[in-house]
Amino acid sequence: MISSYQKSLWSRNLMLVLVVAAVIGVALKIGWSLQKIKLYDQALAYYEAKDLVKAEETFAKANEHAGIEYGDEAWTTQMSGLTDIREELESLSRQAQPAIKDNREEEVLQTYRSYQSFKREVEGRQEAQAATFFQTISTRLGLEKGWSAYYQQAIQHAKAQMQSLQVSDQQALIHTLVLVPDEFFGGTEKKAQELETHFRRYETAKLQERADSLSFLDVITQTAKSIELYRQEGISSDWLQKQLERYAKGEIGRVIRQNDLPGFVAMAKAYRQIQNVLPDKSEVLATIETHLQSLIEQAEKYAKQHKFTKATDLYQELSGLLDTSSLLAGVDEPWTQFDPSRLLQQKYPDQAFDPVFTGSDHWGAKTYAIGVDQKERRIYFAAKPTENEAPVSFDLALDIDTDFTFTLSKLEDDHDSPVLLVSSVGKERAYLYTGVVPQLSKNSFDTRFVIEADDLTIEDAARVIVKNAVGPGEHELASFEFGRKGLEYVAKLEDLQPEHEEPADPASPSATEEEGDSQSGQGTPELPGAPSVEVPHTPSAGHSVDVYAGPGKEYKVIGQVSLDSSIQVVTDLNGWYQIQFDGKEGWIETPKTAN
Amino acid sequence: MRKKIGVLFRKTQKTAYTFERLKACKHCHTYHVLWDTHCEECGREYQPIRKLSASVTRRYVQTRFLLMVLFVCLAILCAKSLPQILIAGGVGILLLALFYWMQKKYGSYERDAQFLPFLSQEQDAIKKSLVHHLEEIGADVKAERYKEAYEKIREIGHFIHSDTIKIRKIMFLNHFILRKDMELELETVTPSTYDKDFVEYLREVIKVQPSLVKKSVLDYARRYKAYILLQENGEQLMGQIAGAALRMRPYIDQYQDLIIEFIDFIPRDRFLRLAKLVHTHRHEGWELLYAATKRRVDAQFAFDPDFAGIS
Repeated sequence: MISSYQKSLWSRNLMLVLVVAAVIGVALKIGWSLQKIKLYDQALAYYEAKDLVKAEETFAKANEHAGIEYGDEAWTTQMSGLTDIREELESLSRQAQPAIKDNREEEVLQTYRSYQSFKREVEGRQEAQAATFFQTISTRLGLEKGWSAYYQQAIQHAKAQMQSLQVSDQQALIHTLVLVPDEFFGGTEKKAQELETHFRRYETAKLQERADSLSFLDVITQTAKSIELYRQEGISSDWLQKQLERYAKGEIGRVIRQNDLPGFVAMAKAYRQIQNVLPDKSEVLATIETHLQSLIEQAEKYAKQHKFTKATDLYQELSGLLDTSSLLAGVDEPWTQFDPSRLLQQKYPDQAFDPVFTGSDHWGAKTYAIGVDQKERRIYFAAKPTENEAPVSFDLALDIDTDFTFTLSKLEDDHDSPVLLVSSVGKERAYLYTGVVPQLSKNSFDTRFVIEADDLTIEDAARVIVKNAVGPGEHELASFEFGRKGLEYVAKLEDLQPEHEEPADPASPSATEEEGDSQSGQGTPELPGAPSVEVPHTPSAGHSVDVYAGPGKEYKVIGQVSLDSSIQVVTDLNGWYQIQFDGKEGWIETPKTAN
Repeated sequence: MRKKIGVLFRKTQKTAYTFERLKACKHCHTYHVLWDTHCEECGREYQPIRKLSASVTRRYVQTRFLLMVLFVCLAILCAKSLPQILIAGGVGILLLALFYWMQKKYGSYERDAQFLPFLSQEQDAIKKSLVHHLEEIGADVKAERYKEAYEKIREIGHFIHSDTIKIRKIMFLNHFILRKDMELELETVTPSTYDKDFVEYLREVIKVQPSLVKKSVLDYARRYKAYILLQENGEQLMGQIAGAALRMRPYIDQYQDLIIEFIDFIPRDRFLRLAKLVHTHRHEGWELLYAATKRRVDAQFAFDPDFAGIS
C-alpha cells in the first residue's frame, strides 16, 4: 500500500520534473525569440542597404526560429516569398546535380522542366525584385550552366556515335536525343528536322551494312526493332518502313523467282512476325499472300490430279506459314477413298501384306482394305465407317497350318456383306473352307462356317454346291444353303463314286478352272492355293495396254503389256490390277469385263 | 499462591494528546507507540506523526506551487509575441508571490486541517502496527517477561480501551510487588464487568496508593458489592474502599450509603477523618451518616483520646 507520504513525494517530484522541462522550454523560447529579433533587425538593415541576397539569407535564419511573430507583416511576406524562391532553386539544384553526375536523363529533364516552369511562374509575378533575386540565386547555384553543359555534351556524343555507326545502345541514344529540350536545338521544328536527318542517315547506312553482312531474318528483326524504338519515342519512322519494304521485296521476290519454297516460307514467316512495325498496306505482305494463295491452288490441283503425295508435301511445307491441318484433312479423305490400302498402311506401317483387297460400301464401311499375311496366317482389316468417323481396324489369326488362298466370295451374310472365303488344305478332304465376315460394330471377324470338302462352288449369294463334304453331303455333290447358322445341307444333286485316288492337288489351278467359277467382285479372282490368276480375255484382247507405275493415270507409264498374254495379277485396287511385269510391279486398268 | 516479583517500571512519556505517542517510519510505512527511537526494520529514526503529517502537507503545497509555475511556463510557451511573453511572465510572478505570502500566513491552519484526514488515511497502518505490538506482547508472556509485557500493554492501552487490554494489564500487574513509588494505574484498568483479579489488584493498590480510588472504582465497588463480599475479607476491602471515598466531600455525598453500610470496617485512621469531618461540617442529608458515626464512636472509640470531643 502506498503511504500518503510517498504519494505526496512522488506527485511533488513528478511536478518538479514537468516544471523543469517547462522552464527549459521557456528559456529556449526566450533565447530563440531574442535571436530572431536580432537577426530580423539585421536582415532589415541589409534590405535597406539593397543587399537582397544577404537580407533574405539573414531573414531566413531569423524565420527558422518560429517562437514568436515579429516585425512588419508586409515585409515579412515579401521576404518569405524570396525565401521560397531560394529554397525551391536549392532543392532543384540538389536534385539536378546528382542526376547529371549519374547521367539519369529522365531526372535531369524533370528538374530542367521544373526549373523552367518555376522560372516562368516567378517572371509572371510582375515583381522585379523576385525576378532579380531568382536570377541571382540561379546564377550562384550554376543551374542553367549545368544543364546546358550536360545537354550539349549529350548531343555531341550522340552525333559522334551515329556518324561512326558504332552505337552501343541505340535505345539509349535515341532516348537521350529525344529528351534533350527543344531549346538546345533552336526550337521544336528545328529539333524534329535535325533529329530526322541524323536518324535517317544513320539508319540508311546501318540497313546497308546489315544487308551486306547479316541474314534476312536478322536484318528485318533489327530494323523492326529500330522502328519500334522510334515509335516508342514518338518519332515518325515512315522512311525506315519504306526502306525495309524495299529490301524485303527484293529478297522475297528473289526466292519466289528461284522457286525456293523453304526459303520463301522462312522469309515470309519472319516478315509476318514484324507485321506490327510495317505499314498498313504492306506491299511485301501482299506479295507473300498472293504467292501463298498460288501455292495452295497448286496443291489443290495436285489433289484433283490424284497426286496426293505432292499435294500433301506442299501443304506440309506451307505449314510454317498457315494452318494446313484442314487442308491436309481435305486431301486425306479423297486419298483414302482413292487408295483405301492407306488405312492398313496407317494402322500397320511396318507390316507387309500380300495380297491387299480394297473396296467400298461393304460391311457398313465407306471404304475398306483387307491385307493378308501368309507367313503369320493372319488377315488384317481396316475400314472407315463414314467420312467423319475414325477408322477401325482388327485382325484374325487363322487356325490353319498350311498356305491358304483368300477370296471375296459372292456369298452374302447380309446386304452388302460378302463372305470372305479362306481355302486351305483339309485333313479329311482336299480343302478346308472357312467363311468369315468382318463385324465393324464388334471390331472383329465373325467366323460363319468351316467345312471340309473336295470342292466348293458358290452359285449365288445364298447357295453353294459342295463336293464330298465331311458330314452331311458326304460322297455327294450336294447343295448347301448359307444362312444365319452358316452352311446347311439342302439336297443331294448326285452321288459320287468313291475315289481311290489321291485327292486333286489343291494347289492346282485347274481344279477350280474346271468349275468355271472364277471368283468375281471387288476382290481379285483367286484360285485355292495360288495367289495369282490370269486375267480373262476381253473383247479388246489382242490390244496392248499401258502399264503405270501406280494405280492411276497420273502415274508414269512404265511400259505396255498385251492382254493376249498371261498376266499375273497380284492385287486389285479401285479398278486397277497390280501385275507382275518384267520382274517388277506395275498397274493396269482393269478390263471392263473383269468387273 | 503465586510468587510476586519486585519491579521498577520505565518512565512513561507524558503527552497532551494520545496521538503524540505515535511515531512513524517514513521508509517502511509503519507506526510505533513504544519507547524505541529507530525502526527495527530499516534502522531509520522514527518521526513524530505530527511532523510527518506536516511534511505531507508541505509537499502538497509545493506541488500546487509547481503546478502554478507550470501554468505560467505554458502561458509563456504559448505566447506569440514578446509583449505576450512579458505579460505571462509578470502575471505569473505576481501569482506565485501571492501564493507564497498566503502560505506563510495561513499555512499553519492548513497543516492542522490536514492532520485529521491524514490520520484517517493512516488508520489501517496504525492498526496494523498495534496488532504487531500485541503479537510482541504475546511473545513476551510466553517468555515470562511480564515487566516488558506490562510496559508495552500500558503504552498500547492509551490507544485501545477494551476489557481485554484491561484484564491483561491486571494479569500482568498481579505478578508484581506493588510499591508506593510506582506509577500505578487503577481507573484505566477498571473493567466493565466483575473481575476477581481486578478485585485482588484493588485490594493491593488501596493499601499502597488509596488516592487512586476514584469515582469509577467506587461505582464498580457499589455495582459488584455482592461479589466482593463473597471474597475472603470482602467486608474489610469494602471498608477500605469506603475509607478511600472519604478523601473528597463530593464522594461522601455520592457514596454515603456505602460508607454507612461498611462504616464498621473503615480503618481507624480513615474513620477518625470521617468523625472529624462530620463533627466539623454539618450538612443537610448527612443525618444518617452522623448517626452511624456516632454509634461507632460510642461503641468502639468512646475512650479513645483522638475521638475525645468529636461525637
